[in-house]
Amino acid sequence: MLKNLSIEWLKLKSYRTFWWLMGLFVLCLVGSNYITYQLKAVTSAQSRGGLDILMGNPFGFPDVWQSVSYVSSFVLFLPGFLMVILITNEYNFKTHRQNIIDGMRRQEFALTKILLAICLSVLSTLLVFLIAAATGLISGGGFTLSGSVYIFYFLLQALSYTLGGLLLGTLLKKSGLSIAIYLIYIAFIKNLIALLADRYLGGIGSYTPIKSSDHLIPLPFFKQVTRQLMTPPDLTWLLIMTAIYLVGFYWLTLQKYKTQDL
Amino acid sequence: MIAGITPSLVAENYMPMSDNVLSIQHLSKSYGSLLALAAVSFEVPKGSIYGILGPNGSGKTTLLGILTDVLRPDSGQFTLLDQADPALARRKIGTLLETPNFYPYLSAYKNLEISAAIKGVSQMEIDQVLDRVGLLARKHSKFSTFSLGMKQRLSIGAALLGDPEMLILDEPTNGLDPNGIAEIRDLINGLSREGRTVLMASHLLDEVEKVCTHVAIIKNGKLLASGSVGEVLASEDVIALRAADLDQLAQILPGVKGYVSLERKDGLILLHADLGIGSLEEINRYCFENGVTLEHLTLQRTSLEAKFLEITH
Repeated sequence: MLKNLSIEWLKLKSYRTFWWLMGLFVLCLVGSNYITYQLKAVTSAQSRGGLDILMGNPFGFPDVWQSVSYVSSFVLFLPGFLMVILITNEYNFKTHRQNIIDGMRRQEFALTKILLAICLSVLSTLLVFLIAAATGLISGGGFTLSGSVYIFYFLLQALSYTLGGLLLGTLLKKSGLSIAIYLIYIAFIKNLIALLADRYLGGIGSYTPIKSSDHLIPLPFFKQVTRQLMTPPDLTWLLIMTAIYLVGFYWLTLQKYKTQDL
Repeated sequence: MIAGITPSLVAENYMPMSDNVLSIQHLSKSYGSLLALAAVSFEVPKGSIYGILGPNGSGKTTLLGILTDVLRPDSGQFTLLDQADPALARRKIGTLLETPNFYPYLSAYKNLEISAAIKGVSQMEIDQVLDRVGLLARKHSKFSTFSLGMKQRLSIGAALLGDPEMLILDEPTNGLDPNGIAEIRDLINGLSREGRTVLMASHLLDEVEKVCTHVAIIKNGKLLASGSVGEVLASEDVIALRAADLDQLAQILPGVKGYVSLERKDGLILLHADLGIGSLEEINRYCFENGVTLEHLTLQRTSLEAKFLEITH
């Protein structure tokens, strides 16, 4: 598998779009957290501490793990978007065939892409861990790993986006269509399905695909207020559903490659 | 240039061996209601140049697609290079499909680096094959900047990586100019002389006749005939004769050894006969002894096109 991952690296290291999207992703991660941090600092100063009674200190330990994970999750569409591009590229160039013709097994080809999605997710999580740790230290207070379970939830969310993107690209094959549906799903359809499921299927909207992993990291700001306004979804069920979707994405991608005509 | 080579001459270069490099058993494949391959079985002897001949849409590319694991058969099986694992067999096979499949943003060298890594071939070979196909000077140019001819040459380069035991070629001369066609035919014959087996799909009878030692004829997914080119496309002998008195000639010809039939055409009599039994000299003597002096005696062959049409209709 390591050999196949090194072959994947040969494809990636000279691919400019990969580096551009990775650069944008890092920039957005740092940028979105910096903007939120500054916004909180400015509004806190303007309210002369009044806001802090409501908000607490979301960028100090231990809340910083949740806050940075939450803010960062809004740019998670980028690694998923990258996975859609990388898999549909193979279809466009017909290199998914050539790799098999040259002697790669179909299962190896699919597993390598799945492994790439896992690597991208782990890398994203590592970046978020570093940003959270740095932000917490800048905000003052002692370093603690208490509350860092949100970093693990972020990993699950990242896996949902990248493996979801991989499956979508695998099923649709066409890059333009896959990218459009991926972005529309993340921005619109995901919420629509959740809304409909909430209304007509007995409030299970939080457990729909991608949405279940989104809800693993709830809004970290104004916790007191949000807790009084709505009942949070059950964490155990969110974890179970996220795991089911991840296994589903993995299995369907693998099955598709094992059985389809390339 | 080997364009003038006849099947029999090619056959002389072919060293028959007992084992087969490919054995296909009852391969079937449908696309919805369309039957693309119907229980096709044949065997490809080691060292042969095996042509899969058939009109467009007959199932040739489907067959090659199954052999290269790009397509899944509905039923049937095949064994490549006696390997239980077809992926390992594919690493010892060079494949040249109709369109070159490479990463357009990578250079020629980097594209071959990927192929070499999959095949488990040393990177040292890349420059050698690029040199062989005349692309060494452009090895750092992106694939997307290549002309169609250069792209095809890079495909050949990729196919030659790893000293392949066998080559699979799908319509290798499609879209090439006469020089390109001659180059590919030279290459195929060169590869065969080096002891490699070549399996090629073609819709061109002429190409198969000039290049191949063996042929399988496919139409509408069905295997109509397979075997050596000599056997499958064996044509009846036709002898053209003329004498002062054609009627008398026509009267005595049924007595010729191996006689099948005769017809009159353009002031000649065309005698269909099996020359494996008789010979031109014997025919000449026979006519003279029966009081007919021949003015014209030549051997013609039924055209391969006619034979091919006879098989496929």
